[in-house]
Amino acid sequence: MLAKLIKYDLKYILKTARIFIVLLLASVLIFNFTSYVPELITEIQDGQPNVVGEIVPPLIIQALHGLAQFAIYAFIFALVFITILSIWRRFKNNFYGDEAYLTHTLPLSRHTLWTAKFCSTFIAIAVVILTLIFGCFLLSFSTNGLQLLESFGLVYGCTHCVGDYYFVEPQSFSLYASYILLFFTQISFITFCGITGIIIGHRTNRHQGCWSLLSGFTVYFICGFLLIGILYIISLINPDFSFIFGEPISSGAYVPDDPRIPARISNFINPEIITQLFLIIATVYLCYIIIQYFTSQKLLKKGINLD
Amino acid sequence: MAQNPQNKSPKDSSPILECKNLSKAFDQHFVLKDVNLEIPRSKIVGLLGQNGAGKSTLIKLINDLLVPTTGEILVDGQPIGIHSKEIIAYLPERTYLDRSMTVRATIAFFSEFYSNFDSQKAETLVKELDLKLDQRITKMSKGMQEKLQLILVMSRQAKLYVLDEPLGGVDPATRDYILDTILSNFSDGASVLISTHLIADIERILDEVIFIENGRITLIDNADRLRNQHHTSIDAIFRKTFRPKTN
Repeated sequence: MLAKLIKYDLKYILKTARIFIVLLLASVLIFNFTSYVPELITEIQDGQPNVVGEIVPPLIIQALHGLAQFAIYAFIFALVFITILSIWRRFKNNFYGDEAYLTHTLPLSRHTLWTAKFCSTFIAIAVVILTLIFGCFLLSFSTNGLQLLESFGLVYGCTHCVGDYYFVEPQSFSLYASYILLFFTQISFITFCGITGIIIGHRTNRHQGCWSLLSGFTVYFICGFLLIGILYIISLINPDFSFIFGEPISSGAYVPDDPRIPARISNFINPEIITQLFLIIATVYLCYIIIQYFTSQKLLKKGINLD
Repeated sequence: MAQNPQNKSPKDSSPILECKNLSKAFDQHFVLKDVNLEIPRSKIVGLLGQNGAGKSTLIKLINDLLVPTTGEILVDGQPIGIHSKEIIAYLPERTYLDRSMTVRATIAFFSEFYSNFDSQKAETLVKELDLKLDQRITKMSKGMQEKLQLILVMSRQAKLYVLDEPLGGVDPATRDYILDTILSNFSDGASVLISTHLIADIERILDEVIFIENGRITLIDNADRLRNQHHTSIDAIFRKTFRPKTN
């Protein structure tokens, strides 16, 4: 029964999201196909090469490329945003809207109903994250795509280490993995804050929408402040993390062993420290999500009151 | 008179639904007060009361859509839970279907979740009531959606059918058709609890009547006995009982 519930939830949630998945991937492909690097025209003047112009593709290609870049930004935002909204909408309709009259009269326990929502939320967000990873993977095939990834902060070290070209440090696989985990847990956490808000808000008899919004934000901010507190304590215990609060890097100073890196750059943060930091934050978010799961389950077990 | 005779085993003599000292309050305002009632098996029971009398609240409590403030509800001798939901077929006042689904997908949904759902019967009724299997619910009128809900509810082999205002949004010509659908489709040995304020339309099918006023049960009686006692229809008795007080 749990699997059936998840199936129906995902069908609903991904119905709109899949449109944005297709649009995003199409934009990435267009962006890659229209990718170009201007070729400089130089002339020797007084024995010195002098740039007198550049060769660029036709205007239509440039326009298409610019449009695709804008579309990538827009569809990434839309995909994440629409998925979260669909999850919230589905949950509200199923648990407190008209459809709740069917949901709560199915011969299933509230525990099963809630666990199905929990799992489908995780799966839907995982689908979104996997789509984004796949999109980034496709982008990495073009030079402009790599530049775009850099603007997302996804090509570690490229800004600081190498002036003219981009590369991925071998040890950064774990960094990417922790980055993805962090993004996944963060989006999941935000989504569950909304769901917890809906549950708390609907325990009141009036202004349930307002109470849901207020409760969701309250849970989010309390957890956010707690996270800052946890990180502060960690930075006191381990000076490697003191840079989070603006302190100069002490024992965490790191110089990549790469001859291409200019000597003037010295203020590196060890990617391992960043990886650890991402993992710590992801773990905290995961703990929050687990706490929200059990808290919401307890609240739902007390029963619901439909209008 | 619609009857649903069955050979009753000793266990079957117990009521299908019992409410004991049941109360429900919202913000300290009681909408149901100390309700005690029993619904016997194999009976069609009318839950009759004016708008706001507490009919829907009682029905929601029976279906686990509200939490009682005090008291207890037993269905088939057990508290409200998975078992009660398995044996109660509930038709709410509002449309509870996923509007993005087609009729066929909705039937498949019910078939997946209710072990006592008869898909074959549902598809037959869909055709009989002039609905199309591939039609999307969002494209259907409110009346059509209500018909579909009724089909889905009556296609279950339930022990108790709880119908909240099944004639509410339906034109008078369709009311008889709906009542006939209810009568000819509920399972043998099952009870039907129908909440309505349209008594004249429904009284011909009732075995028992329950009057509810301001959250209190004011009368529980056999429909025939009541009619014979007062020499008039249930509708007339209801009107007399609930006549608005004038200065």
